[in-house]
Amino acid sequence: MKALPPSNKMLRRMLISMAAIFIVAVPYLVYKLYETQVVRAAELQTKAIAQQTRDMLISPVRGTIFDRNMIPLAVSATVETVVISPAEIKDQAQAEEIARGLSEILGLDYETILARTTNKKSYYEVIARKVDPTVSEEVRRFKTENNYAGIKLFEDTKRYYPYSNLASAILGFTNSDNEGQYGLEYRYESVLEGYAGRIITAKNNKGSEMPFYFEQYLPAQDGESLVLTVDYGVQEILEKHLEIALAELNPACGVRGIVMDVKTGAVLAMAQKGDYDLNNPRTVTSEEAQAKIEAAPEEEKNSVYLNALYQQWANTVLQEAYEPGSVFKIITASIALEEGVVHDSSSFVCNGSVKVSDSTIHCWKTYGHGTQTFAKAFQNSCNPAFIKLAQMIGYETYYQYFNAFGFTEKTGIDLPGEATPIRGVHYHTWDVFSNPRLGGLVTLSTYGFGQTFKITPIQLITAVSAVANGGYLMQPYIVGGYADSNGNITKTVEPTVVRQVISSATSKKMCELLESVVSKGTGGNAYVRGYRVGGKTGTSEKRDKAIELDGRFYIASFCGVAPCDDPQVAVLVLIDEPPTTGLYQGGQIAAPVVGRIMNDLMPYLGVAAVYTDDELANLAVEVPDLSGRTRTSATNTLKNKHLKVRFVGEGDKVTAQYPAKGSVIPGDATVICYMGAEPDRSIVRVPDLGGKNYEEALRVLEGLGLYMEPAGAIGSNNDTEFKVSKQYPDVGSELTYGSVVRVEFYGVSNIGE
Amino acid sequence: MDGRKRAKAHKEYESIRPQQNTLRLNTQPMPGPSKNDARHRRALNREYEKVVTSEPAGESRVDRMLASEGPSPKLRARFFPMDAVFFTVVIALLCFGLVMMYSAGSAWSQYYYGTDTYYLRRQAVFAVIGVALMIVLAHFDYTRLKKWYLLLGIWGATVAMLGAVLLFGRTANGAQRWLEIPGIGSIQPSEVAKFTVVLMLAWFADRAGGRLKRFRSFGWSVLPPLLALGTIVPLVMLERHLSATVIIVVTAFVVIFNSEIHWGYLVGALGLGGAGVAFAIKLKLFAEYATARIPVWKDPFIDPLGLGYQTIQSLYAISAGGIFGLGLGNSRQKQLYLPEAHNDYVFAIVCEELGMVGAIFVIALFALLIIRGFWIAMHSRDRFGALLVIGITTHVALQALLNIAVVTNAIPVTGVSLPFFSYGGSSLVMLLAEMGVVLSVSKQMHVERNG
Repeated sequence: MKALPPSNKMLRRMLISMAAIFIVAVPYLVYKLYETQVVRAAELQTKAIAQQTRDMLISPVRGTIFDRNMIPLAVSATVETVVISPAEIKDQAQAEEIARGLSEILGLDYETILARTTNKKSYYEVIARKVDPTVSEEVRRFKTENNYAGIKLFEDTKRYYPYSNLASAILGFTNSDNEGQYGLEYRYESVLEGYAGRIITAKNNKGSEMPFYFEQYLPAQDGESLVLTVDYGVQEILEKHLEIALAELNPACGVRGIVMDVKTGAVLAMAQKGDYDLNNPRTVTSEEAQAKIEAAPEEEKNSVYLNALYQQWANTVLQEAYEPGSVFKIITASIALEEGVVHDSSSFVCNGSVKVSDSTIHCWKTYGHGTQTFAKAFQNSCNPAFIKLAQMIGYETYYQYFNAFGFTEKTGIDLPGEATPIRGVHYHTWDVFSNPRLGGLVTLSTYGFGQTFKITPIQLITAVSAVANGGYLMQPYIVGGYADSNGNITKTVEPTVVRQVISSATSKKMCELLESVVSKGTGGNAYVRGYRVGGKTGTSEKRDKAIELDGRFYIASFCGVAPCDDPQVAVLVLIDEPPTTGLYQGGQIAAPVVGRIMNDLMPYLGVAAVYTDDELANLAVEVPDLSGRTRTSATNTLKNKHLKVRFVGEGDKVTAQYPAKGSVIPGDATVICYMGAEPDRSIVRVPDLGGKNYEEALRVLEGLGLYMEPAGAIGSNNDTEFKVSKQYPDVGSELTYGSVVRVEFYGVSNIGE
Repeated sequence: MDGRKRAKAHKEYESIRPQQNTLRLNTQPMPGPSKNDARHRRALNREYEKVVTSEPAGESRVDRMLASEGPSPKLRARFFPMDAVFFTVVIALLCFGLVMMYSAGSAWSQYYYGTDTYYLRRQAVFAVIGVALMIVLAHFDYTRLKKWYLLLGIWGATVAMLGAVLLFGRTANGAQRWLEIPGIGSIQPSEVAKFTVVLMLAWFADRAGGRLKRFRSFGWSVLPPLLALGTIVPLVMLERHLSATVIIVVTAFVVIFNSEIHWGYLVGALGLGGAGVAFAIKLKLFAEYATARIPVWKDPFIDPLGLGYQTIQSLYAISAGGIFGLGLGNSRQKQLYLPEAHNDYVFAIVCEELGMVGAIFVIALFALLIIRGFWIAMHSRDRFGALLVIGITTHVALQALLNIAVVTNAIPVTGVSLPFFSYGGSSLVMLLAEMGVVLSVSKQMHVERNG
């Protein structure tokens, strides 16, 4: 049979077949390729890369926070996170062994760990975070000994605060992700955190590295360290004395304090008590708050707990505005002097109260101060005098200075949470302030002695520093510099002058006035012999709370400056709501705290004690070294120092002396010199001197053969009665004959606001 | 074939070539099921002569081909050159396919066998065997396949193998497709079945000759396809081999379409087929494994770790390539992310490593193969050869297009391998054998050789 070639009809159909392929099928496929490779490329590639790469973060080391002497206050230490990778656990038996081992080492529940091993697709199940190196080392040994691929350890860092509670209000703390939550840790998060490094490796689908593909390593950049203006020593002194005050006075809302370098505005210390342990910030420390949590119904427990925490963490020095009270008279007096509305000869009359418009305003001294000079009125903290003064200054000038001293704006301190002064809430609007029909005159008058408006403690101490430093309002700051990870300073922060508010002459005059408040006025309890401490007392009423709760609530405060001939530091101490059943006036309870702080602070800061002649003669005589001296030489030396002498024994030379050289005893005391004789070494128990006055205390001690080192307010030239408030060592301690007992005296009368 | 032999053959051909064109038409009326009355016979003859005489004598294609009847098929098969273009495209696809298969499968090979060349070495052996077989078959006179006993033997063997698969076959991925043959490995009888169906349809169409043109040729137009498809397709369907079923049916349709069959049967077949599919969908006759793929096809991300996984991985690979690709060997998705990277999904790795440029190059190679295949069919000596080539080319084209469509998520996932690229020894050998048949047809082409 003859073969037939394809007919034309077949050829046509072949062309149709090819056309179907090349007109329909191929273009559609090319379009799909275009769609996948061009249109959706970016989206799909991102997903593909996410699947192909294992991205490991390398935590940067968080910067250290140093005090100004490079003592670390907050440091980061390496810890490890224990992770299991269920996908790499061979079988159930191995999972159980791992769970058992880890539960033993980490002290966790066996069942909980075992439950985490069930998701076989997972490579990352966190078992324990921030495990200390000692424990994680044990986990590592357990892993390597048994060759478990399913256990993994990842490096992490943990924040430690070596001094626990110290500076807790300033430092703040971090959360478990090492992010700053409060305080400096929060404010300087971007500086401290550094940049995380990454290792990006391409992995195949079984988790092992691709043989030839890319690996990228971006090293972590450690955070910068902060060098604070805070001084560990100053902070410790401040906190020590605040704690003592807290324990003694038991104020309802705690105590607060700031120490500021008046010349720069640098914060040397800032604290509030009660505080909390920065290493365990979530533990409520206040017993009162704990009781409240206990008492709360179950469903509210958590919110009560959180509220307690927020209260505990808040830095009230910056956050809580209060009515400053008489401490504010420093500002009023400065304005008056600067504007020349008073002179040394100006006199004020106080009858115990004064009528302003329709209101009667009382002086703290109900029977009045009588006629007094400006200086005396300041020393007496006389309200009617300052009402008069404010009125003499006038609305406009007073309001201008109120602005100029920075009370209407934030100070700009580099700490989070500073309260913003709100016009019309914290202080009066100009319209209200200046309008007599809206009570403007009363407002102006009360501003004069620091009531009816609210400012924060940091604003006040900044303004007082301006008064003391020659008139320059500084911007307070707390970070004085930055350092690299090796502790080398990379940058220092310069002080910022905001503006000059008063002249240096006025400032000088004010320093003298401040000193006189302590040496002659209501601030006597802040007196520290050898250091010219100045300051101003304040007892302010919490009027809003008083109205709300119908009671009496006060803040006793004292703002001290020292030394007054060349002011270096300002110290503000607030005692918030001392019980009104006991002493509650600023001069009574806040001034002694500042006095004690100054007493420790001045030597710490290297300020040389300069005694006045008066002090030298009466209070603070340093006993010289007499050993080897002859009778005449010893007698003459002691006579020059206003000391008496008693010789015991028959030798020519002094072989021993009571009290020991360097002791500080009052003038007119008797030094015992042993001329070859054996010194008396009998044991004496320290008696209770509490409540005794100077002479009584001296007599009791002398009777026992002990010496007295007088301290506290006893040196101030106040017409006040002084009583013993503290003695070191305590009652009942055993001392040898001839030892020195330090006795602190405080003024009890005529010490008021 | 070396030059000397070719020269000799040519010389022989020249010597026996008829000196003038002689039409040796078979004027006998066609035997067939038609009525044997005079009126009908006259009509038939008129029609037939119209075809033969529609073109001027000595000018028509038919004349030229018949005039150059020349050497016997045996002689042509032995000494005439095969089509160089087709041969070159096949070898190019094979080499390129081997390289890409090696690249795509290297990571899996490393993972399973500890060496990256395991798949390459095995595939290379089969490629060598396949190329040898292809050349042998190219020299085999394909017209011998017209022997009825040979056809019967091939059909019988195919049906037997398909039956054997159902009885003894190895089950993989829920489908019973593989037949283990000791010493050779495993083969997929469905691959053979594709060729068998093409062969049967070409055989019958050739037998039918001009009769197919008539509408009243039921016996030639309907029975052969029914016989070919009816004995084979149900067996393939029983293997749950949907893609092979589709390829066989579509290839069969194309072969029938390209015969002279009356368009009425084509419309009928399409209508019946469409109704059948609609009916099956309506009654939910499709197995769940097939229907579940539809929503995943529309958005593979609805089941990223299950049914959509492979498609997603494939799309990741394709997208990563962009225009110019990551470079040969630099695929990331082949690093154990893309399952069957060396098998059904080689094309995705081609896209990733060589980009859109490489992908279009591969498509272009297949296009060249298809065009040249049809070209050979157009110039083939007889209808049998033409339909055989069309069938083979269509089945390769379909397989390539379907594979690329699956890889690019243009259609729902179905297991189709990419000819020349995908790993698989027996199917590569089978494919190259089919290429050998095409080449064999090409040897006997009517082409103006000196013009």
